[in-house]
Amino acid sequence: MKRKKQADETPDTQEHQPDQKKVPPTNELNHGITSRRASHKGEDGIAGHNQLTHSKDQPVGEAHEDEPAKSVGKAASMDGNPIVTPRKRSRVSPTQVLPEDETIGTTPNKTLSGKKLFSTPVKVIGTSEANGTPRLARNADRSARRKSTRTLIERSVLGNTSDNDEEDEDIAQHIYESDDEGGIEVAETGNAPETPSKRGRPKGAKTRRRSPTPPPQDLLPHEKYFFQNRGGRPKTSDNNLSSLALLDHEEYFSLVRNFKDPQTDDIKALHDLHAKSFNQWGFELSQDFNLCIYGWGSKRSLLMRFADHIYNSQTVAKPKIVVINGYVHNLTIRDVLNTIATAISSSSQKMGSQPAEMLENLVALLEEDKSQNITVIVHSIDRAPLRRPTTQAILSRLSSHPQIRLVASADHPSFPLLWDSSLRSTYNFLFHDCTTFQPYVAEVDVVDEVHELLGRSGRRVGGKEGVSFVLKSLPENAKNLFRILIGEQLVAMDGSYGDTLVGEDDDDHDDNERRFGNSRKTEPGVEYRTLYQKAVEEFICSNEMNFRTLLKEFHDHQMIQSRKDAMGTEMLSVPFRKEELETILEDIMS
Amino acid sequence: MSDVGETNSHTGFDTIDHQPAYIYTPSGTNDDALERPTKRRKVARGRPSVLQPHDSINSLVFEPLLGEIETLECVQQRQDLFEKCWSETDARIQSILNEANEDTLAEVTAFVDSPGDINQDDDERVPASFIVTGPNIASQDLLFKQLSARLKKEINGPIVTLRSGDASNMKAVLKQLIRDATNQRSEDEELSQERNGRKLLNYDLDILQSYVKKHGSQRVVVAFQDSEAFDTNLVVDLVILFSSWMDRIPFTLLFGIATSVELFQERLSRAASRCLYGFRFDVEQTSSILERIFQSAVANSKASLRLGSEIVASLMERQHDHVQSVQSFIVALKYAYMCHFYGNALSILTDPSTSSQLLLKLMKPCHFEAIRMLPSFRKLIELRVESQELDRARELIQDDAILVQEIEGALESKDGNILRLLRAFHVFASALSEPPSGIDLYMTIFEGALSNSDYLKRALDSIKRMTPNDLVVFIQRIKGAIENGSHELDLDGWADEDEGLIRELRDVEMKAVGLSENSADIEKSIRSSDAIHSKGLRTTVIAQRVQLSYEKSTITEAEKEFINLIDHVSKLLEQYFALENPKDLFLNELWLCDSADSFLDVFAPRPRAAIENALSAPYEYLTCEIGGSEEGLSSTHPPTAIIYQSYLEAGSLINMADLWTTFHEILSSKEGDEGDEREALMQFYRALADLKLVGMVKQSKKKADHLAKVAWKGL
Repeated sequence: MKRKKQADETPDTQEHQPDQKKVPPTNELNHGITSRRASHKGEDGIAGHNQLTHSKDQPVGEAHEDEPAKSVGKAASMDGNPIVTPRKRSRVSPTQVLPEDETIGTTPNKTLSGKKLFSTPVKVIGTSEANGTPRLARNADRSARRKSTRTLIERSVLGNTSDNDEEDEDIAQHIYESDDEGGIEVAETGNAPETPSKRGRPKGAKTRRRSPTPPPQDLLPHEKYFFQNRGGRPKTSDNNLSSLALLDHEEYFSLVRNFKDPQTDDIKALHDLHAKSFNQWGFELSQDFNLCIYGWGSKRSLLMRFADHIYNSQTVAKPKIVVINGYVHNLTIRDVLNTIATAISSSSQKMGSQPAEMLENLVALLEEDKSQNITVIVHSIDRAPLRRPTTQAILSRLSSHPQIRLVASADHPSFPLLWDSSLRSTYNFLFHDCTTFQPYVAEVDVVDEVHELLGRSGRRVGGKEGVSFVLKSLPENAKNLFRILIGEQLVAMDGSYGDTLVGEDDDDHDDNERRFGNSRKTEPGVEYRTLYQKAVEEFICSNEMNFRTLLKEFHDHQMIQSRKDAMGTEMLSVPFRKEELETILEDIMS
Repeated sequence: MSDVGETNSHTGFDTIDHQPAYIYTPSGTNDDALERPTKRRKVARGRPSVLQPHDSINSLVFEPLLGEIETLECVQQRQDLFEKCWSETDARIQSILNEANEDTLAEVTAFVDSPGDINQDDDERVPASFIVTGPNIASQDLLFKQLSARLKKEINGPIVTLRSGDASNMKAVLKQLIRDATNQRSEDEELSQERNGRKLLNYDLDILQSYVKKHGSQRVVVAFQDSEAFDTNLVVDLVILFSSWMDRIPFTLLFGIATSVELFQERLSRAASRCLYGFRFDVEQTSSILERIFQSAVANSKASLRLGSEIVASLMERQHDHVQSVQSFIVALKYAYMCHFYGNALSILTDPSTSSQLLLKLMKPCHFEAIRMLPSFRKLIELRVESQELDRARELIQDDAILVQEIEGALESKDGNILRLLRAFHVFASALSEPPSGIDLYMTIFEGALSNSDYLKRALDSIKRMTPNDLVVFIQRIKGAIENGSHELDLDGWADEDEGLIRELRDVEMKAVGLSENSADIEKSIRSSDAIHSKGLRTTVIAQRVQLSYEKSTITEAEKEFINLIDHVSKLLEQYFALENPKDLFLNELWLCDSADSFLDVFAPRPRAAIENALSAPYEYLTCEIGGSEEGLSSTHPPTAIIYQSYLEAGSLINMADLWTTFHEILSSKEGDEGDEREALMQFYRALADLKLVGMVKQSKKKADHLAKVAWKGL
C-alpha cells in the first residue's frame, strides 16, 4: 500500500500540472480516496502529537476535533520515526527524514501556487482528490494559527460559498495539521497504516461516496431516526434568511385578516362533526367524568361552542361557566380559583393566599349550595402557566369535586406525561380526539415564536427603531450605558470573530463533539462586572444600585438579555445581530 | 348564521381571548343561532307519537338514536335503565371497596385510639402507623379519605391529611396543619391568636396546643398520604419537631407507604427514626380487590351488562401494564355501561326485570330494522338456512310479527343462557383445588372457548391422577358448588335444576367411596388412573450397564372399576363444560358489551399519533381538492402539513431559508395564485409557530437560521 501510494504521489509532487495525465482517469477517484485515507491517519497521528506540544496555538474548535486521535499520535511517534517537528523548512533536510521524503524536498518551491490553491477551495477539491496531502504539505512552514486564520478569512471573504463543507473542513484540518510536520506525514502514514483513527477521519471520502445515492426510502421510524442522526455533521446549505424581510406584528395581522383559507369549509365541516358529540360530552360530564380533548388544531372555538351548548341546554337555571385561558402567560392558579369563587357567589369572599388554602375555602363555598354546578373550561391545560406539578395537583383536586366539571384541551403531543397515575385518576378524564385543523390564533404569538426560532428575539422591542425610540425617552446616562454595552458586545463579537467562526465550524459537528465545544462563544455577551466597571469609569453611575436601575429599564423593554454562562457569571447581551448593533450604535452616537 | 358570528369573533382580536380567566356568558344575540341541539330536539318533539312533559325533556341527557327517529319514551327508557343498572352495580362495588379497607381502618383506628403500651408522659416518641398501600398510589386517596372520615367519627381530635404537593417547606406544612386542625371544628375563629401579649405567627404550634387544650382533644392525627413523595428532610424535620412537642400536643402520625417500611426507614435519619414507634398495617392489594370487584360487578348473575372477553382482556392488560388501580377499572366499567345505554338503541331490551311484553310495545319498526342489522340476527338466519328452514328465515326477515316471537323467545332464554355460563364458571372455579384466576376463566368462558381450553384439559388430566379419595373430595366440591351456589356471584343453589348431573355425581361418589373403603379393607390402595396406565419402568444395573425393562402392571378388579369411574366423570364434565359461545346467541348484543378499540382510546389517548396523522395525512380529515388523496406534498394541504412533510424528510438540522424556499415554491405552484410572497410568508410563520407549539422544532445554535429537529414520526 505504501508503495502504491508513493507511486501516486511522487509524480504529482514533482510536477504539478501533469499529474492528471499520469494517473489514469478511471482510477483517479480510488487513488484519491486511498491516499487521502492513508494520509489522514498519518495526520491524525501528527496532529495528536502536535496537540501535545502546541495545544496553545490551536483554535479551540479544532482542538477537540482531534483529541481522540491523541493516542494514535503517540503510538505513531513511538514507531521510531524521527519525529522531527520542524518549524522551519530549513531544519528538515530531506536526508534526515525517511527516504520517501523526497517528495517533500520539492514542495517548498510551490508555496506560492499553494496559496493560490487555497484561495479557491473549489480547485483544491479537484486536485486534492488525487493528491491531497503533498500539496498541503507545501504549506508546512506556516504556523497553525496563521493558516487557519487565513482560511477563515478566505472563507468569510468568499462568503462560505462552497457547498462542500467537507473540503473546507479538510483543508482547515490539513493546514493546521500540516503545521509543523507536513513534510514527514507521508512517512508517518507508511509506518502506521492500519491504526484506525477513532474519529473516523475518512469522513470526507465517505460522505463523498454516499452523496450520489439518494437517501433511502421507506425506513422504519427508528431506522429513520438513526439515519438522520448518523455520525458526521448534517449537511445543510449555508443559505440564510438575511435577504428576507421578516414580518412584524402589524404586517402579520393585516395579512392574516386578508387571508382567505381555502379550507375554511372543510374545517367548518370538521368542526360540526365534533360538535355532534356535544350531547355525549354533556352526558359524560354529568356522570362525574371530566373531559380532555386533544388533537391537531386549535380547540378553542370548539370548546367555546360547547360552552354555548351547555349554556343553552339547561333552560331552568343558567349554568355557570368559567373559562380559563391556559395559554395566557401571566395566568396563575390563584386566578383560576378566584374566578371560580366569584362565579359561585358574587360577593367577594376571603379566599386566602395559598392555593391549597384557597381550594379548601372554595370547596367549602361550593358545598353551601349543593345544587350548583360549575363548568370549568380550560384551554390548553398543558401550556407553561399551568404545567407545574403543584398547579396540576390543585386543578385535579378541584376537578374531582362532584360539583365541578372540567373540560380541558391539550395541544402538546406528550401531554399525558403531565400526570402520574394518581393525578390521572383524580382528574378522571375521558379523552376525545378532536382534530380541528383550526389555526392557533389566540394561543400562539406567531411572530414572536418564529423570531425566537430565528434567533431574532430582539424584534420583540420593535426592532432597532424600537430601541432608538426607547433610548430617546431615556436619560443621557442610560443612553451612554447602552452605548457602552453595544460597544463591548461588538468588541466581544469581533474578538471572538475568528474563534466564533471556527467555533461555528465545530458547532456543526456532532453533538458529542460539542461537549468540548466553546459554547461560551456561540453568543457573545458582556460580563456584568465588566460592564459595571466600564460604567463607573465613564461616570455613568456611581454605585451598583444606580447601575441596576439603569439596567432594569432595558430589561423592561426587553432590550437586553441576561444569562448565566457555564461558570455562573452573569452575561449581558443585546439580542441583535452584529449589523443591527452597528446601526444602533451609529444612531446613538449621532 | 352561527358560523358568521363565530368567525367574526375569532378573527377579531378579542380581549377576552387573552384574559387569564373569566366567567363566560354567551352573548344574547347569537344565543339561538348557536344552539344546534335544541333544533335537533325540536325535530324530535315534532314527531306525532311523542308527547312529553316539558321538564322531562330537560332532564333528558340521552340523544334519540336510529337517525333521530327513536321515540322519546325509548330514550327515556334507556336513560332510566342506565341509571338503574349502574347504580346497582356501583352499590355492589362500593360495598366491596368499603369492606376491603374495613380491616385496615379498624386496626388503624384502634391503634390511634390507644397507641400501645408505652404512653408515659416523658416518652417523646411519636406513635406512628405505617400503612403499606402497595404501588397503587391512585387508591391511596380513597383510603385516606375513608380513614379520616372514620377517625373523625371515633377519635376526639383533629385529623389532618398532608399531601406532598402541598408541602413545599416546613413553614407551609405547619401553616396548613394548624389551619386544617383548627378549622375542622367550625366557628373557632376566635382562637387565641395572642398569648402573653405577643401575637403568634400562623405557623406556631402554640396555636395548635391551645386548641388542643381548649377542646380536650385526645389525639392530633397527622397523615402523610404519599409519604415517599415528600422531601425526606422535611419529613425528618417534622418528625423531630412533633416529637419535641409530644409533651404538649398528642400527635399521632399516619404514613402511607407505597414501597416498604424498611425502605422508608432507610430514608429517615436515625434521629428521626428514634422519635417514632409504631406498627405496620397492610392494605389489601389491588389484584385481590380487583378480582372481587370483577366477580361482583361483571360476573355477577345480577349484573345486567356483561363485558365481552375482548374488552376484559384489554382492560386487564392495561391494569397490569399501566395503571394498576382499582379506580380506573371501575371507571372503565362505568364507561362501558354508559356506552352501552347511550349508544345502543336496542339497550332498552337489556333490562332483565321488565317483562318482554311491555318492552315490545315500545318497539317501533325502526328497532326491528336495527335488529335485522345485528350480526347475531345474521347468524340466526344462516342457521335457519343451513337447517333448511327457508320459510322461517324469510319470515324472520320480512315479517315483524314473526321477528317479535323470535325476540321474545331469545329474551326469555337469555337469562337461562347466561345463568348456564355463570354456573359453569362457578363450578369450574370451585371444583379445582388450584383454580385459574377468575378473570382469565371468565374470559375463556365468554369467548366460548372453555371446552377446548387448557384449563379444561388440565382439569381433566388432574382427575386422572386422582386416587379414589381425591375423587370423592373433588365430586363433593362440585356438588357443594351446585347446591350452595355462590355468594359473590349472587348465584343461588340450583341442585333441583341440574338433577341429572347431581344424581350421576352422587352415584360416582358412592362408588368411589365404596372403592376406597374396600381398598382400605384389603389394605391395597387403588392407584390413580394415570398411575395404572403408565407403564412402570424398571431400571436394573447389571455389570455397570443399565437395563431397562417395562413392568407390566397388573390391574385389579377394583382398579378397573375405578378407571371406568374416572372416565365417566371426565365425560360428564366435558359435557357439562361444553358451553355455547355467548357471541353466537341471538341478541347477544343486548347484554354483551364487546368493542374494545374505541373504548381504550378514551382512557389512554395517543395524542402524538393523532397529531402526526393529522399532519402527515390531512386528506383524511379535509378534502384537499385535486390530488389531495395522494401522499406527499401538495399545495392544497394546510401549510403546517406541507412544512411537516418537508420536516419529515429533512435531517436533524433544518435550514430555514431552504425550508422557506421549498414552501414558497409549493404554494406558488398552485394555479391561479398570484403568488403573494408576503401571504405565503405569513402562512410559513404560522406553520413554524405551530410546529414549535407542539414541540417539534427548536432553534439550533449550530448554525444561523437553522432549526433542530426534535421529534421523529412514529417513534
